[in-house]
Amino acid sequence: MKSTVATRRAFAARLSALALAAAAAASLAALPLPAAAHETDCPFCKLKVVQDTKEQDNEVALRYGRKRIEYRCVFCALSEAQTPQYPGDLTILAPSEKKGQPVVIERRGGAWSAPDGTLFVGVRASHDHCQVTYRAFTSRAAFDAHVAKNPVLLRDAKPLTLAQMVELAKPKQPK
Amino acid sequence: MDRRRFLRLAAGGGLALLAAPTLSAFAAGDGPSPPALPKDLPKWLRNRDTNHVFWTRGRYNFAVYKIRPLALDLNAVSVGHAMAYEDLVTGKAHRLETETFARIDRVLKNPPRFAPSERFIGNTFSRRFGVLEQVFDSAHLLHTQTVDVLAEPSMTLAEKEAEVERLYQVYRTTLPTAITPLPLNMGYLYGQPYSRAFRDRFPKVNGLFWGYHWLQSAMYDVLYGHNLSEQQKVYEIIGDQYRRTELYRTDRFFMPMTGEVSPRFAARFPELANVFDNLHMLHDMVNDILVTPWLTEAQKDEQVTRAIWLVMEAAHAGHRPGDSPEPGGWRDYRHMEGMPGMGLMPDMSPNAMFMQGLGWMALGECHHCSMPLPEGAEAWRAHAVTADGWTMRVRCPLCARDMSLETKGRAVLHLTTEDPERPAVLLSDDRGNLTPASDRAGSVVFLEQEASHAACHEWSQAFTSRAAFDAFVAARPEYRGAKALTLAEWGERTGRKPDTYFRREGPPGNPFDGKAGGGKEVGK
Amino acid sequence: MNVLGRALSLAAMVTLFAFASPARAIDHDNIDAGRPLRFEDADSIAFRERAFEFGIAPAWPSNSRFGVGLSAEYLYGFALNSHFSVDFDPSFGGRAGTSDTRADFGRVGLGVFHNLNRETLNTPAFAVRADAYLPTARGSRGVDLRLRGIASRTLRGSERLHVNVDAAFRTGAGDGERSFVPALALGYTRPVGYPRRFDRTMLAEVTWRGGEEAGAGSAVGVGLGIRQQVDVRSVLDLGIQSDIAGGRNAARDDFRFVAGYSTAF
Repeated sequence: MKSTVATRRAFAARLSALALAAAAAASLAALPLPAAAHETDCPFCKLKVVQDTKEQDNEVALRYGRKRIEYRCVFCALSEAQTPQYPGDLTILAPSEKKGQPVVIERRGGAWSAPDGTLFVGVRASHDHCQVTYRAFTSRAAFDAHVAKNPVLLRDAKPLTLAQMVELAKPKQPK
Repeated sequence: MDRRRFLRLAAGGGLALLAAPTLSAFAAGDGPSPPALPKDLPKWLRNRDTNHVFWTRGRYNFAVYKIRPLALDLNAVSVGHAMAYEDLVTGKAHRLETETFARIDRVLKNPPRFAPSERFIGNTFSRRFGVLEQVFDSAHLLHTQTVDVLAEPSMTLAEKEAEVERLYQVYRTTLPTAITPLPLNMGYLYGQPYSRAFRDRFPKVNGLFWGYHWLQSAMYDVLYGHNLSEQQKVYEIIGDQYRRTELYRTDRFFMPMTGEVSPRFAARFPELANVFDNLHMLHDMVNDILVTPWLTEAQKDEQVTRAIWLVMEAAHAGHRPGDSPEPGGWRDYRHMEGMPGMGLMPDMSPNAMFMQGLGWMALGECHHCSMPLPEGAEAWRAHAVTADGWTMRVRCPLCARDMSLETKGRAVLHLTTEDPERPAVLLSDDRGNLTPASDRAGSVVFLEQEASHAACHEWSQAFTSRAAFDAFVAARPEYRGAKALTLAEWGERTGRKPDTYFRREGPPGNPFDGKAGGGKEVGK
Repeated sequence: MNVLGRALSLAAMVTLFAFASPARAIDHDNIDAGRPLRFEDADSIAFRERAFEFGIAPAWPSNSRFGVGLSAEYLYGFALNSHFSVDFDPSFGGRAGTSDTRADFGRVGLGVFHNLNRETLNTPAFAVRADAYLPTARGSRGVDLRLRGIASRTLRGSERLHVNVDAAFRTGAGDGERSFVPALALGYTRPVGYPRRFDRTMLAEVTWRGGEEAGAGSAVGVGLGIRQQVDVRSVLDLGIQSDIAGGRNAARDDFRFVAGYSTAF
């Protein structure tokens, strides 16, 4: 089998020419967009960070200063945010039911806040299913829809407020 | 267990990974036949001499003390090694995870001012395994003196590189016990019937050993190509990582490899990287042998001799890197693609490396944008990021910066410039704020005209000065009008997700558990 | 220049040399003769190692007045498990075995040491050493030769026992002097402070040596010492010795203090 690396090099050479032309045409201003490129394991639960799909966002990001660290779920991000590693202000971008519109959770001066109406599902189960069992929603209707879609895992799920979710995520190792 | 089946599987090299828990049930002498000792071993492998060899003289000796915390950490490593070995051979293995661990930990937290002779701490071990001690001593000497050379501020980079090469020649020609510089198949060496016994039974002390090896591997990129101020400041971060995290990790799949934590050094000195990795693997093999309950004491002595021979230069004479007369076996000298200083890892193919916490990757590619890294004479141009216990080479300063921003905790950015002797070394705090590690990085100027990462090594660059930036831009019309970014301006930026990035996928699961489809080419 | 002047100049030179050199450490637990006690272990210095050792030893001989001995030795590991040495031992004032109190340059010694084997679980380390002492001392004649056999064995942990057996032959022995002088030393070493510190070794010895003069009895001595690593390059040693028993007219020191410095480079 031909080396994958060799294939990539040929591809790179072609792209290089295109890129140089593009660079001459336009100087792209750097945009403060989410930029997680390499895919890593979740720093908290050590499981793979589930990538976004065309239909649904999955990656949770924790912004701390200029750092933007990806987590597998909102539970992991909230848990790690409450460790001594993150003593100051921070922001967590938790995917919601709306593609491209994360729920922005902030901690300023030790006080947590999120947009009005934000609710969470938080059900203890195997962390393999954390994308289902820990999520943020912009409304009760979205929460109900998610529960209805996952009747087995979320049979007895109750909507949680941010305060309840923060309490639930107080540092403990995920199952 | 069916013995024939056992031997058949053992020949495949992966059995021990699966069978260790079962084998541990055997009593001494009742287990499977251990691997046979090769015939016609050279006499020196059983020598009765002391064979102490002195340091090669040079003005660099003890320069490591200029980075005093590193020197002290290394002193403590010597004690930790010897204490564990001594308890292993004096019937105290049962308290290794408790009393021995606590005793070692106290030394690690209160390191001695001078490196003690391991022989006097591990006296019984030294008397029993004298030849092994010679192998360890001479390789540790190479370790230590290489560090001294790299830490010596009065030498130029070229002088240091030449002296490191000279030290290596002294090492391999003074005693016959030199370890091979060839990349050995780590899967084979860690696939012996006794492999993993130590890791499984003594995870905390094994964690210490692998923590030492992490430090002894990571220190090279801390030092290589950096001036004293940079070395001291970088070691503040690396030493903290070592003392807080790496020493106490019990979740590692495999020992740290030099190419994983000092890829710049390993790319420049693949022979040394291989010697050090083979040395560390010999440590692991000896640990495993000593705690394997189904080996008699005499068999342990024999297996230690065999383990030494497996990694000796003399045992692999006539072979070259890349040869593979026994694919997957002892004489398999293929290396991971893009990293000649790293032998094949367990159950992996040359083109795909599984790094714990980072997943599958190719060592010859930027992990941020997947584009090929410079090779050969241009290899020095690769930039590097150190964070969270790993060091990755990347293709451009943007990749280095953004990768550090996506990683928790403090980080070190090694950015090459137009001058091979003047990299810009930047430190990132845990919020991603960048500061120069020395004055010479304070004047660095950046070009960043973000476009496709197919050419990121062109449009993202660091220069030692505005004049160097202007000279580069003047020679390339496509960058006319490009802004020369100061460190403060550049450090405020964040790039987009690289268009060229693709996630390399390997076989499902964790290759270190022996269940992956090892040895096959791995594609996208 | 008189003998005293020459000796002081030499001492000053070697001291300067020792402190100025970018040297490597002599291990505090590697015992060389005279540093600070009489016995040595069976290990040679390392291949390619150079070492310099010097000491000062104020002594109170039993039949003479107070005196001071100096010593300086250069060692070179010329081959694996072997080293070569040159030593000087000038003295001032009284010294055991003679009524002469004038300063004396002493005999210059040339030696070869060879370690025969390393210590194993069952076998002690053995070494042999041969020294020739040139007639450079005041009134000396002929070359003195000394053969020494050395064995070192671990007792428990890092405690070690060392046996030195000497046979000295005096080719220029005059009337009333013995041409063969035997000696024996039993040494004990133990690292101190383990497992909290790793830079100090305690030493003790019991020695017996035959009389050099016809009719002189042998002397039995004891000694206690310590070797302390003081930096990465060097070791300081301190010792006290006393010949606690002896035959008639035996050459004895009531007390002898030893302080020394060793460095390798």
